[in-house]
Amino acid sequence: MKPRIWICIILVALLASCAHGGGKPALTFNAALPEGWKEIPTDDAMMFMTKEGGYKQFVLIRERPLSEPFQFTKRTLQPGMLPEAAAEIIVNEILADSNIRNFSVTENIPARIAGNSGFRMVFVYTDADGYLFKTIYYGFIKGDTFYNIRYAATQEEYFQKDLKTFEEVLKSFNLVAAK
Amino acid sequence: MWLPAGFATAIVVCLSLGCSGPGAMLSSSEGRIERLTRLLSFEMRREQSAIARRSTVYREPQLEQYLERMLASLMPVEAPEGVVPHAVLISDSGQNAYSFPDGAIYIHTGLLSRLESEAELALLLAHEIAHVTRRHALRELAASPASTDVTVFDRALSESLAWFHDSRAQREFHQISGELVSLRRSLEQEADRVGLDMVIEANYDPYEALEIFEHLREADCMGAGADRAAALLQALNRTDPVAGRFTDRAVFGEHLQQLLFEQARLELRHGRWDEALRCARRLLLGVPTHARIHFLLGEILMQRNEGEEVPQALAHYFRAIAVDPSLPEPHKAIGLIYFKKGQVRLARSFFESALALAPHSHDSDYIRSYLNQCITKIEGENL
Repeated sequence: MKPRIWICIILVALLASCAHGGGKPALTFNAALPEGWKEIPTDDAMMFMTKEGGYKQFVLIRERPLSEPFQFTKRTLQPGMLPEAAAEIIVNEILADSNIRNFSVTENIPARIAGNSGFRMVFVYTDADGYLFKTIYYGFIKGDTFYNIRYAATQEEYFQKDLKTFEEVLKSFNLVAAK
Repeated sequence: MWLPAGFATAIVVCLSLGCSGPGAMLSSSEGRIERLTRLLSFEMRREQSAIARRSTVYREPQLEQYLERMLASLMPVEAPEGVVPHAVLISDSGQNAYSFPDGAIYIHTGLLSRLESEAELALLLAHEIAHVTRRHALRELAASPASTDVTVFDRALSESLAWFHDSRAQREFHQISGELVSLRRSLEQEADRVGLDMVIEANYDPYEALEIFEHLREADCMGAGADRAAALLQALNRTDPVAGRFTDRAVFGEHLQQLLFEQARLELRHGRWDEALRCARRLLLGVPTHARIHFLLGEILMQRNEGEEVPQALAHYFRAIAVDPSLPEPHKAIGLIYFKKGQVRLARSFFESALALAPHSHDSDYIRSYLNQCITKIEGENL
């Protein structure tokens, strides 16, 4: 895979750059790595896992402080914000990213994630290299942290194939030390 | 305000880089201006493709037709061959406009949303037309050293684009950019003067047109706006009194209605509350009883998240319902305000009316979940 593609996928997946440094912070969640998948090491508060490479499929679980503004809209999530409002901010952030084309939300509903009220979105988009991605995106706010769990794959070839695996990862997700 | 930065940089870098290559094989009999024209044409297409990839074109046929009519009325009779003035609107908060040698005039919706009269728009368009008809891009290129552009021309036609962006190119660009500043300034001044003449020729009031500098001063997107306005005013005062017609601002506002609405939504999505409010409030001046504008204002005030604005937002939501009781969104919005305050009985009735109006809306699952929470609370209170 071309390095540029990796850079793109990471940028797209993160939605925002993490400003902190000094090594990977301790995560406040757990999730099981599926058999045959590998976790890509990062310095950020996230788990990034893939079976065959980020341009085929990946699962990204990330926690971010609510005070951290998003990269493009500079908006922030607020403690106690309704899941629907949080989902809207995520959508607006993606819309503001000029690397993302043809973004379209096909589902946006309330959801429970590890016992927390949140949202589930399904959307498709084309990245700067013209790759079409389908993504399932779960998110919820707990205390002063926003957690999101997403599964993205090149729509035609890989999405359905690894959907069950993602559902297993989602089931295994739990908070270990809620902030 | 006539070439996008990337385009300008690219053609200048083109000319600043000199080295041997197949370009030297170009026929020496080919005129320099011809070659530069081809280079410009090549770069123009490339830049326009890049803009199309990274931007969202704003489409509104009626507004586009209006702009085409204005361009036609401003265009001088003897336009250079191959120049077809046409406007391309880019959905963007930026306050920018620029033109290409083929007559394409790109205008950001953020800039258009700030104009207050047709005369101002006329000056903006005329300024850009002047850049095109006076072939400013070519003149800028031609001012660069002739010794460099033969080989550079060949490089511009090569497959590789990387050389455009390498550090050497950037260094070279910065070395010569100082020389270009004064040329560019004089070309801008010429576009201002020629543009103002076109505006007068088209029977607009020049003083009304010059108000554009006032309205864009905040962003100062026309460069040193105050200085340029002063220079043009001085030139006007030296000539015989010009009596153009004042344009009808209400009619102009009608042309911009849809654009202002979309701009307010764009600014809202980006969290630029003041800009969103400016667009929405301006819309409301023209159409005080528009349910969707009242709803939008309510949304902006709520999302701005300043507690004291909740009553104002609520008032706009109620106004929206009063104007159009069939609009489901303000019902839900009012329900949410009461829901957050813990006034679940009131919230319930608004959620129910929102659902009754649009049972299959995209957010109906959310509304049902709020409604269920209200019912659970009410039942708990009743026990």
